[in-house]
Amino acid sequence: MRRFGSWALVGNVLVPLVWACGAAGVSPDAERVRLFERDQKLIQTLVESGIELSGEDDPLRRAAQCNKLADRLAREISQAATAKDSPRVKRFGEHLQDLLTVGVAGNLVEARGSVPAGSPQERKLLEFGKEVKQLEEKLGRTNRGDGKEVD
Amino acid sequence: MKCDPCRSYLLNAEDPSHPIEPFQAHLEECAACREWQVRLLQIGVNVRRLPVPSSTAKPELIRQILHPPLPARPSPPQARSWKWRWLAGGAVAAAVLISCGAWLGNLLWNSVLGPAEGPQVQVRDNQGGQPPPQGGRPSRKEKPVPAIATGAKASDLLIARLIQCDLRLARANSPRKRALAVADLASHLERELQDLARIAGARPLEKMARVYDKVVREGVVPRCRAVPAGQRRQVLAPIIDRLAQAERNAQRLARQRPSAAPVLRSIAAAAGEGKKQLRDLLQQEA
Repeated sequence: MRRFGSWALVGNVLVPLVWACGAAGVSPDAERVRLFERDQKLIQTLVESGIELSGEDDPLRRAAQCNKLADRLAREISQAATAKDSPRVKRFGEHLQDLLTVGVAGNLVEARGSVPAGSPQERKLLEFGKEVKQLEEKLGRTNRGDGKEVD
Repeated sequence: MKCDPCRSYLLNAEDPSHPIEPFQAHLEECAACREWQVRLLQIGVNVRRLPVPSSTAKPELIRQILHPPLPARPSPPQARSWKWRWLAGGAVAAAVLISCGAWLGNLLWNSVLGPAEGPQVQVRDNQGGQPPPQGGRPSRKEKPVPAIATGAKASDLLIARLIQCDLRLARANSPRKRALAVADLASHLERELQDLARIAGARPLEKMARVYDKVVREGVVPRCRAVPAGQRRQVLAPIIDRLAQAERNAQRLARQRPSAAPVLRSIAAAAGEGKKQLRDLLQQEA
């Protein structure tokens, strides 16, 4: 009986101490600050892109701005894939799709309607279309399967 | 929309501080529902502060699952009674020590982060009835941003909101829509910075406070200037209110949290300057 009591006492002291040490290591607030610091540059890019977009009337330039943003997001996806952070790859993949369909393609369609055939702007438009295609191909290589980087 | 569906939605929403578009529109119009939302958020925050009484029910249940009652076997009744006493005593001691462990854990955690200077809240409690960010009608492709409750995911939530604002700006075809979208962009950033100021010092926020100043100066103010004169009062008034609220909140928080005060004061100054310029614009028009 004495032996049982000793074990109970040791267990009851050790378990809360181990738990307390674990609690000291992982704090939701510290984690929140860490993630904000990690994402600070991306957040800054998103805000500055918003400022640029807000003052831009030319749909081709708006598309270019969105494409720049999509490229930035693609880099984040690639990093997340390297870190095997599948949820982040998935979330950012959805954002990227929105940027490419709404921001890039939507503005390109609008620009196409106003650019005369054979003009320098049309050449710019076609070149830009190639850039977008390259980005899509790069993404196809990066995000094949379950967020695994192939290339 | 009537008040009842909006309040039902808020009760069931994962994050009632950021309602989806139709309900948000109603909240912008209805002061009673805004007040109701603020009270709901305060209840949510306060419930988390309630102490949880210790209980031996969980260890007892686990024990019952792991050690089901054995078939009866002859044993001296006196010995079994002692064993049960030891077990009960052990369970009570475990509960007491686990509570001590929780207290010790919090103590160590606070010592790692530094002393708290005010209440720490993870969900913004919409102090002072600050209206939630508003925007123009969402585009066809715009998706509601999913509410993410835990503090650790707040950065992802901010990124999702900023991208939605960028998409609105990418497709905005009128000065009014641009002004509203860029004002939302500024609001999302400002709210996140103020939330972070409650838990972090000034250092991680210095750079982003300058970015906030930039978005107000180079985004919100010029886009509001571009709104046609006939629409200005309607578009600018809620943006001015929001900037005024941001200024007040940042000033109040700067007093509560001296470690983040420089950053909060620069946020307050940026919001105050933006508010002043927009008010001047409205006065010129009048």
